[in-house]
Parts: sequence; C-alpha cells; structure tokens
Amino acid sequence: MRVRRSPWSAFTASAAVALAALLCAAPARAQQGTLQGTVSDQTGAAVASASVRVVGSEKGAIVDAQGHYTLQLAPGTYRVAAQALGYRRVVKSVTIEAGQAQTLDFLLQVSAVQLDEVVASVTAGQTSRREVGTDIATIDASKQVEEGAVTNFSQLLHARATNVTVTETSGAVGAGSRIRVRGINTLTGSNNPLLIIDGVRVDNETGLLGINRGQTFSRFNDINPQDIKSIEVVKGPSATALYGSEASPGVIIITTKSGSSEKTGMKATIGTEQGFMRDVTSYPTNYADVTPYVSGANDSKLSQWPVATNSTTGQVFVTDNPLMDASTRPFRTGQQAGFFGNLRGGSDNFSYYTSARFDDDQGVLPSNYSHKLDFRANFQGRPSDILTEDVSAGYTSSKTNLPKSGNNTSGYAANGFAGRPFSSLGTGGECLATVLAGTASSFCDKNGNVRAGFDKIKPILSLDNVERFTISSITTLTPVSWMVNTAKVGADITNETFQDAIPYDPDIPFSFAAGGQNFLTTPQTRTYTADLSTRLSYKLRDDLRAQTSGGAQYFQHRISTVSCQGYVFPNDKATACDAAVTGLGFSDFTEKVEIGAYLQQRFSYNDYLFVTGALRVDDNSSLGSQQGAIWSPSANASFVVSDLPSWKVDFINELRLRAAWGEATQAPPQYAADRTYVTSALHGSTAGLSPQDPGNTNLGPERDKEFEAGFNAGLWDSRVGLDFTYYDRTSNDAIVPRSVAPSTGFPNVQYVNLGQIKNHGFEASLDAQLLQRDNLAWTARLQWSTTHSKVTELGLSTPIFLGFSQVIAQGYAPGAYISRVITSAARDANGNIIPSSIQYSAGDLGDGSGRVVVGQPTPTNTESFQTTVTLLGRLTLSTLFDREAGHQVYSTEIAGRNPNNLGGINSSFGDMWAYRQTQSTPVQQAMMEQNQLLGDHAGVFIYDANFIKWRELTLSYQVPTFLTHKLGASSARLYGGARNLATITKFPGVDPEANQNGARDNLRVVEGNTFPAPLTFYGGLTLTF
Amino acid sequence: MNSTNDATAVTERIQQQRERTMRSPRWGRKLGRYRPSGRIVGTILAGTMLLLTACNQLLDVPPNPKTVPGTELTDPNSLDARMTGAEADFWFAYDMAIVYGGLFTDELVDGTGLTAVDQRRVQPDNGLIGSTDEAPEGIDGLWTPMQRSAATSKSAEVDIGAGSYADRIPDPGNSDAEARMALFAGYSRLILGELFCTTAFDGTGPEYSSAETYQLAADHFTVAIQASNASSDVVYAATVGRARAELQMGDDAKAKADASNVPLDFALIGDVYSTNSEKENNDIWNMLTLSQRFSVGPPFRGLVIDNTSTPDPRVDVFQDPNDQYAIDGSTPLYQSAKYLKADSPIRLASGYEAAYIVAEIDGGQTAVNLINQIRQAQGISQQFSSTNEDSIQAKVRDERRRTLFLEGQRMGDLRRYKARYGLDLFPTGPNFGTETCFPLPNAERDNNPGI
Repeated sequence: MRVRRSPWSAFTASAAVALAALLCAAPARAQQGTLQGTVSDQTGAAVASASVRVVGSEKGAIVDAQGHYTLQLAPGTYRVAAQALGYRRVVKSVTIEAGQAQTLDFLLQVSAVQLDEVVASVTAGQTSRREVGTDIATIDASKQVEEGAVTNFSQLLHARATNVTVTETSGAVGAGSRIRVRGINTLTGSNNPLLIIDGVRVDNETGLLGINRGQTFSRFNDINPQDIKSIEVVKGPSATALYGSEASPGVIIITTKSGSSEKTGMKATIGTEQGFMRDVTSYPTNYADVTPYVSGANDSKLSQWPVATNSTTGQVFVTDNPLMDASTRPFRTGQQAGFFGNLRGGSDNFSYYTSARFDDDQGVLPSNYSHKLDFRANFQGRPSDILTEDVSAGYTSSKTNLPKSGNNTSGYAANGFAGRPFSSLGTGGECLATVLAGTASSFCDKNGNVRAGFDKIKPILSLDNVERFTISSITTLTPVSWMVNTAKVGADITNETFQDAIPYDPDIPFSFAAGGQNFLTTPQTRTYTADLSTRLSYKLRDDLRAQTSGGAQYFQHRISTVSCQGYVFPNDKATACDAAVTGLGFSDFTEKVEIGAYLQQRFSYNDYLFVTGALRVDDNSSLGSQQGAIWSPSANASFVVSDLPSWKVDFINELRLRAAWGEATQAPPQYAADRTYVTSALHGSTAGLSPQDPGNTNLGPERDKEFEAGFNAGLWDSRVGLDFTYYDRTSNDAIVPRSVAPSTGFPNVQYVNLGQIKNHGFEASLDAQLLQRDNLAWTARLQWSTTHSKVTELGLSTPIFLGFSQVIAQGYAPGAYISRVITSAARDANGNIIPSSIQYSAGDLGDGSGRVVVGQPTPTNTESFQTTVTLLGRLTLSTLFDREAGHQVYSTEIAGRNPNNLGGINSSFGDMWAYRQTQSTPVQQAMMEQNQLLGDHAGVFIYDANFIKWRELTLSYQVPTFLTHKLGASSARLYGGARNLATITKFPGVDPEANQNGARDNLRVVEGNTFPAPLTFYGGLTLTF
Repeated sequence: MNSTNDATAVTERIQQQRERTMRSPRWGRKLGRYRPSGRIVGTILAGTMLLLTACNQLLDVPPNPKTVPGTELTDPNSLDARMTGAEADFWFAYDMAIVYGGLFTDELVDGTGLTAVDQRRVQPDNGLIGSTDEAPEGIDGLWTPMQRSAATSKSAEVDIGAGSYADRIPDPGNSDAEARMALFAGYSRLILGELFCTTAFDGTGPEYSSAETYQLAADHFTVAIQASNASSDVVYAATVGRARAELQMGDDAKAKADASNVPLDFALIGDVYSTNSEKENNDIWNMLTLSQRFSVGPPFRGLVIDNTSTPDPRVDVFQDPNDQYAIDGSTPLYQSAKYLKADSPIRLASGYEAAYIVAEIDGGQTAVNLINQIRQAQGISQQFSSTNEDSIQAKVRDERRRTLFLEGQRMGDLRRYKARYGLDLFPTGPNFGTETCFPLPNAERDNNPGI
C-alpha cells in the first residue's frame, strides 16, 4: 500500500534522501531493458540532429547519422520525447521489461514553431523552450551560414533575432559592429551583451584601440561562423538575472558544433569561397570659393579646373571630388578569399569536430586588409552513460590593417570629403592655390595639412595582430536519472599587438608626424570561468514534477597592457620604439572578479504548465567598499494552453502563454568607486601627487527590473509560427557621472547611483512555411520590434553633454540630439539672411543655452524580412531585408565641410554652403550661419535616418549525388550571393549606419568621415566526403 | 512492481543499496568502473561551500596601478609628493593660463578655431574654458587645472600650518614648506582673479568679485612673507605677488611699499617643464611651435627699440619661412623665441615687474629712471627720456608689455588700464565681443552648492 504524503513533505523527504544518497552511496542498478528506434522525417530521411529523451528525467540520447538511438532504462513505463531543431516534438509512451528490447520509432514533422527545442540555460542539464517563461531568441547558425551571405559573426547575428540590433558602422574588412539588445539600459556601463561560448565567458570588448573613428576592432568577430551550431540571445533581466552582475545588457550564448556518434568513419568537408567588393557610394563634391582671386567664371586662371557658380551671389567656385574623380579615386576592387574544411565523426563513446579556416580579405581602400586563421577542435567523450566530457578549443590568429579614416587629418575621409580644392592639381598638373596666388602657397606644399594625396595615406598603419585561444571543458555527471551535475571551467586568452604608425617619409604632408611616429600597444586579456551546478528532477505527484537547481560561479577578467610611443625615426626601416629619438613607455592593468550563486525551483504540471522561481546572489570587486552582496530574484511561468485536454481550436495547434519578471544588476565599471591621485612631476625629476577622481564609497550596482509577457503560437499545423513579447524594464540606481565643482580640486566626475532609465516595447516574429511540396518549398520570416528608451530620472542639476550634439537629459532618450532651432528667417535681395528676421523656438534643456531635443540616435522600431525558396529540393534562393526607423543621425561630413571664415581662403564646403540661397531654405541657411558663428545649431545637420536595406541575396545548389560520386564526394554544394545590395533612405549623408565612433561601447553616434559597407559578390563550393 | 520516481521507491531502493553496501566494502569496484565515488560528489558540494565562504578574499583585486588611493595622502611619507604635486599643479596650469590670457588680449591670435576666446565672447558654458582638464592630445583647459592648483596648495598650506606634519616641520608657521604652499595658493588665486570676472574656491561659495579674489591672494602672500624661515626666493616672489594684487585693488601705497622691497635682479623662474610627457611640456611652446594653434598677435610683431631699427630682444618674434601658417592653413604663424623648447622655463615674478609697479604708481622721473635701469639690466643701450606724463605712462605700459610678454600679465594689465584709466586696449574686430574677462564657468556655478 502506498502511503499518501503531502507534496511538501514528499519534497523535503526527497531532498533529504537525495542528499544522503549523494554522500553515501551509489545508485542501484536493477537489470535493465533496452529502448531503441529510429527518428525520421516525413520523407523517410533520418533526422540526424534529433535527440530522444525521457520526459521528466535527465536520461536521453542523440541519434546517429542513420537516425538510430539506443537507451538503457530500468523496467517501467515512460513517456519518451523525440525532438530536433526545426521539427515538432513527438511524445510516445512505452513500457520497458527487464532484459528485453523495445522498439519505438518517431516520425517528426517540420515545424515553424520551436516549442520543444533545447534552449540554453545557466542551470545544469537540458532545458526545453516550453519550460521557460522568457523569450529566448535562437538562431540556427549552420542553416543561416548556408542560406545567408555571412562572413563574420556580426553579420550572422544581424536581423535574425528580434530586437538585437547589429550596426555595421563601417565597410572596412576586419572592423567590428555595435551590438545592442533591447535598447540602451546603462549610461556609464557597458551596453555590450555578455558573450558565452560553450559555457564559458569570453572577452566581448569593442573599440578599445586605435584613433580611427568609424572603424574599430571587435572581439565578437573572432569566432568562425561556420563553427557555430546555434546562437541564443537572452534578452532581458527577467532571464539574465541568473547570469550574474554583468548580464543586464543581455547575454549571447554560442554553442559550437560537435561531432556525431557515427559508428564508423568520419565526415570531411572542404570548401572555398571567393568574392569581390565594390564601393558604390556617391561621395559629395567639395567647393572652394575663388571669387576674390578671379575676375569671373571664365578667368584663364581657372582653365584647368571644373568651375561652378552661384548665380544669386555671383560666387565662383572650383570644385573637386577626389573620392569620385577617376584620376584620384583611391578605391580598388576588394577581394575575399576563404578556404575551409572540417572533420567530424565519432563512435559510441567518443565524437569530434575539428575545423580550419583561412581568410584573406582585401578591402576597397588600398591599405585595408584582414588575414585570419581559425582552428577548432571539439571533443566529446562518453566513457559511460552517466559521464560526459566536452572539451571545446578554438584558436584564432588574425592580422587586420584598418584604413586611416575618421576625423583625422591623415585619413582618407578628411582628405576626401573635406579635402581642399585649393590643394588640387589641375589638368596641367599645377596646384590651384599657387595659380591663384601667383606664388607658392602652403596649400600646395607638404605642410598643406588637411589635404594629402591618397598615396601618402596608404602606408599609414592601424594594424592589429590578435592571437586568441578559447578553451572550455564541460563535465556532465548523471549518476542517477534524477540528478545531473555539471562542472564547467574555461579560459579565454587574447594576446593583441596593435600598431598605429605613420612611417618615416621625407615628403610627409602631416607636419605633426614629421620624422615618423610609431605607437605600439600590447593588451593581454584573460577571462576565466569556473561554474558548478546541479539539478535534481523529481516527481511530487503523478501530474506534478519539480526541479531544483543550484550552482555557483566564479569569473575573472584581466587586462594587462604595455605600450610605447616612438617619435622621429631615421628612416622607415627602424620602427621599434627603441629606434626613435623620443621613446615613451606606458603600462596599465585592470582586473575584475565576480562570484555568484543561485537557486532555482521549477514546478511542472502535466508538462504543460511550468512555474519557476529563482534567486541569485552576487558580489563584484568593482562595488564600493560600503556595498554588500547583490540579490537578484526572478520568476516566470509558461503555460502550453494547447496541451490542455480541452483545447479544441483546430487552426491553433500550439499555443504557449508566458510571463516573466526579474531583477538583474549591472556592476559599476572597475575602479569607479575609488578616490584617486595621479602622478605629476617637476622638471621631469621629482614625483608629486595630484587629485584625480573624487570617488564614491557608496557606489552600488544598477538594478534593472523587467516584466515580460507574450506568447508563442503554431497555426495550421505549425505551418505558421507566431511569437509575440511585450517587455517593460526599468533600470534603477543608474550610475551617472556627476561633475564636482572644479574648485574642489578634483577634476574628474564622481559616479553616483542617481538615475533611472526606462525601456519598453514589443517584439514579434512570424515564421511561415508558405509552401511545402516535394518540388517547391517556400518559407518566410518577418520580424518586428519596437524600443522606447527614456532617461526618466537623471538626479543631476544639469544634463550631461556628450560632445556638442548629444545629451543625456531627464525625459529624453539617452544620447538625444540637441540644437537651437530657428523657426523662421528671411533673406534680402542679395541672398543674405536678415538678422532681425531670425526667430527661435521656445524651450530649453535647463542650461540656458536655448537648445532643445531634436531627435535620438537609436531606432524606435526595427523590422526584418527573410524568405527562402527551395526548388526540387536542390536549388535554394534566399534573401534578407531589414529596416530601422524612428531615429536621426548627425552628419558631421555635411557639417564639417563649412568655411573657417565666412570669406577668404578656407577649407572646402559642400552644396548646402556653396548654394545656400538656392539649395537651402532661409531657415536652413540661418541655422548654418549661426552654427558657424556661435555653435549650438547642429540641428541643421541632424537628419532622419530611417532606412531599408537589402542586405543579402544567396543562391545555392545542392549538386545531385550521381555527379558528386564522380568526385568521390558524398555531397557538394555550389553557392553564390551578394551583400549590401541596396539602400533606400532619405538620409543625405553617406550612409545612415556609418558611425564615426564605430563599435565603441558608448552613446555617441555621429555619421561622417567613415566609409559604408561595400557591395559584395561572392561564390563558393563545398564538398563533403 | 513498477519502479517510479516517487519518494517511497527511492527510499526503498536506497535502503536496499545501503544494505548491499554494508555487506560489501568494495562497493566501488562491484558496481562498475565508472561509478562516481560519493567522495567526488561530496567534494563538489564541499568545494562550493568553501567557494562561497572564501568570497571576500576572492574579490580582492589589485588596485588600479596608475593611481594612488586617496587614503594614502594622509600618510606623513606623502608630504614631499604632496608638495611637489601642488607646485606641479600650479606650473602646468600656469603655462596654459598665459596662453588663454594672451589669446583674449592682443598677445596672441587664433589659428585653430578657438574664436570665442580670441574674439572676447566666451560663454559661461564654454567647456574648454570651464571644465576641461589637462588634455595631452588636445588643448588644456583653464579653470579646472588652475583650480586644482588653488585647492591643493591651499590644503597643503593649511595642513602644514595645523601641524599635521609636526615630526618633520616643528615650527610650521615660520616654515619654508608652508610659505611655499602659500605662495602658490596666492598666485593661483591672483591669476584666476585677473582672468575671470568672478571666482569661487574650495567647492563651496561664495562667488567672489575680482577685488575680493585679489584680497584672498594677498592674504596667502602675507603668510609666506611672514614666515621667518622661508627662502628669500619665496619671500620676494610673494612680495611681488602681493604688490601686484594691491595694485589691482588700487592700494597704491601698499603696492609701492611691497614693490620697493624687491631687488631689481630678483627673478623666480619656473624651470619645471620637461620633455617627459605632453602634460609636462611648456604649453606656450606647444601651442605656438609644436601644434601651431596660435600665433603672436600683430601688436607684438616686428617690434624695435624706440625709433631705431634695432629689433627689441625682449619680444623676439619670428616667422619660419618653411612653416608660415598655423594649423588652419591660413593664419600666418608668428612664433616666440622666448619659449623655443618643450622644457623652456617660464618666469613667474621678477624685480622688473616690481619696478614697473612703482613706475606706474609714481610716474614722472622715477618712472623714467626705472625704465632705464631695467633696460640697462636687459642689455639695451638706448635710454628713454621724457617729461610729458602721458608719454611717460604710455612708455611704462609699452615697456611693461614687452618685458613681461607672454608671462601672464597682459590680461590683468588691460583690465586695470580700462578700469582705472579708461584706456581700452583690448583687441577689436568683426564679430568681436566686448567682454574684458572670462565669465565664471557653468561647470563651477552649477556644481558648487555655495553659489
């Protein structure tokens, strides 16, 4: 007779007994039975990625290449589920007898709904999507790498997960992108999501090095996208609460490929990809006002140059466009060449995946190239069915030279967009300024500053050598079916050498670099992870199961840098800092440690209603000394309504409702709480101390609370999948930099927890299998998300200004654009603005400057559309569009091209200036002129940046087997495609995504002085043996 | 019976297992090669407990090696570094203050786009003037670096005077250390008073007028002058400083008395700059010769002695034929030979300055004699003579501006000439404003609770 116990005492009894069992004994093994079978899809083909698992238990197996699986189970009745990415889960019941074999086959249907796939979780063991009440975006990386035009990780992530914005801020090869998940949530901390590869945290810095503006290096792109099996994005605090005190901005979890448990042989794949790139952007023309130096447009002095006139004012201009003129245009056809191969295989107890890839990319600017070598070796050992050991190791060696660009007088952009026509050479080879002045002019000599021939820029180095090694070891122990333990350790080691150099050149046009200069920086980054977790699964009642998970984690992140600067060299061969006339050395070190532990309790009712609660405690070395540990609670619920026996709605075959709440934290930047003094020196020989940071011993973490709710639905037999989420998050105690009065002696800001930022929005995606016939398959995916960010409280008496065009102010989006706004103005007969006619809009930011908010740099809504057509099961055509809207961008390349003085020899300016009276409205003209005189009118150069981009187009062909057999290969794939095909936008600058700040982790967005992503065509071939 | 996962079945199984275990001591081997030892699992749990309890040690990270924690400053061993730091704070702010004062007046003109300062229309929200600190890659600020000097020198002066370093400085009130700190506390206030319309100090109010600021400076100078163990350099420099402050306040009698106590050949020269780092460079050299952002203004170019054709050696200004333009490519670049290198020293106070103060106050033959004495000491053979008071005063002004060219005196002088004599010698031009001083920056007004 079974003794009835209440669920709670059963729970405590189970827990107590479980503990006792752990410490004393090993599990019993009565004689077992065998369960075996095949998992196939509706065409009869094996589903090679499928897994078969006993519901409510940790026992499971992955099928082999033929779709077979085998499980050893104790006698009893079980519910067994088979699932695979892209297919609907199937659950069947089976009874096992001791010593006997039972066959159970599964037939899986392709599904657009991913209800039962395994999703990443901080807890040990496997978690399926249906159990989790938060929205986790998953990208099937292998499929997307095949179907999409993707060469690096950022491109793989772009537009494939709702509300994950990846902005490719420049078109240089080897440059990084800015990644944001659900908007801006911190003003002083990092908005970069955490990056976890195979269970261990890895370095996710962007834009640390170099003084190039628009292009920056990003550690996100080191990983080879072909090695990735899946990418998951954990978006908001309701989910990230379990990931620690740095996870508020989101977590990107990458799982790399593993081998298969094929019993014999191995599978080898080799391939190559070749492509070329073209810059197809129109760059604006430069104008130089030569009116004072000539008698008219027909003056003989101007015979060698193109001339333009402003009929209203009678001004005569010489024009040039060094970026577009065939005789000076620096662009070349860029090239991409890639060679790759991988080997995978295994046996019963062991499987492996190894890969190698070499890329040689040449960008469209002559000095831009990137060489990259990637190796990976992933092993999985299964010495028994209770112990699994996964070791994943990856190595990247890359060398990238970015073209000098940005707001540098030694860059391509400043010498192209803002190059001075006065320095241009006419058709006869003479220099304009010399011809006009009649004598040698400094515009025509080597110190002409903002204008150098592009051949002088080409040798300039912005060279980054990276050696990166990431290793992770995951040991999974399942001593009994109801318990799984995981131990993860890992290290991410990056050694980087960055060189910023202007080589010696006797004719160098940049006077500040006469004699050459060479800056070397060698950051060594180490990220270590240790993670222990355990999960107990048990039954409280027949219909009520529970899981208790707990774990502890340790993270350490260290950067140690030694650098030097050398000035003035004897020639261009001796380049070490030692060889310079003046050599300076520097060093720096920073270390951050985080430890945490969590406890999670989940109840599942009949496998369709799940309720989870969790609590995490963290401590972080960057907190002020008065701060204690941080507690982060979270809770979520998931209800698969369609699994209710009473569910009768035919056309909705799957419906899951979910809701979640959580509080995550963001630790302050390391050292932000310290009061510090720095060294000063007298006569270079005696050391002094000088105040620097006022510090704040009470500095605590930012607390990010979120509520999220939504649903996942499958309609018409899961041919259509619909996901919807609404989120609302508030970041309290947001750290803001408060200025202290300079008369205190401390020049730097004090970090205080005073602010509050709110974010809310919707995320939705629609996946449809429009056609699913033998000869024709057509799928489409539509994504849509909205993000509204606002600084609801700043806590300071004045706003924080970022440069002169952006602000962090209460009531507005972080980094909002500001300007004084002229509402009306009038011109006189000569085209000049009548000063008394200028009228301003009312309003003020509170600082008396008369500036108001005129826009924001982050989009309020993003959409993407991806569709794939497969003909005859062989030929696949796929394309991706995306759109961002609701934001504005300040264009410095339009603003920056304005005259230094309103008359006289000066730098180039553009159409708007040259033809102020005809190309601009009186208001625009008044704004430009007032900006020139007083500043603060940047609004005339802030434009709507909405755009639609046609990003990718791919065509791929699966070669028929009779042809591949001739090559000895089991399969072959031919493919080709294009990237960055078209941009539809009203933005008048070069490109609405180009950002002079690149992928730097800050709020600055300024378009200009950066070249956008070029049009790329590529083709490739892979062979599998 | 079907085994299930419920508690009863588990308990029963465990019971059976325990019995089996107790019967067979070699349970590990009996149950297979890869059975986990209970010890492993136990160790994992124990390890987790240990990890959590060892929290605090694990979170100890090395401090930022580029900085010194604030707690170190009260250590008596830090006295030298503190004093050196306070003095360094002054000198590294002073060179840029000279540049800004020169740009605002007629000593320098802009060649980089700093038109607001050059054209005398600086707004209180000007970030460069108000909140920018030392900026090695760009242009240093004005208010913040000089305020740092004012704060550190005063706090060192007060702490020394209060006996915080009694072991090393037994008689603080008369010590050279306190006098030295007071000297720089005075000069930083004096310079801020001459450059800014109003000031504030110590992070608290009130807002001081220029006259009040001069008095604050004079008070610090008095501390230095009265220290009996102070070195003569410090005492003379403080005397010159106090005379300058008193002249600005209109206390002519006191100014003359102080200035008369300074020997003509005295000079305090800050030979403190070096090529070590950009911060330690002489900023006047940097702005004129290295980065070429500013140029010497027209009234100081091509100066000769009186009506001769002899170039005036005190204002040795030249133009490099190979490098004719400032960084904007159009402003003609005139450089000063006074500061030709990154480590060129800057004179802070001199007997010449004291003599000019007396000359301005007394006028007449006294002024003529002083002018000629100074010229003789400077190696200029031409002598000046006149009996017309206006010509004499004009000459005093002219000689003063030449001798003290780019020494941070011009701004105070032009303000005094306008306020006392109604003589407006500030530069003018299209788009120029009418200010005669820098406004109190918003960076101070907004963050100082006392204003």
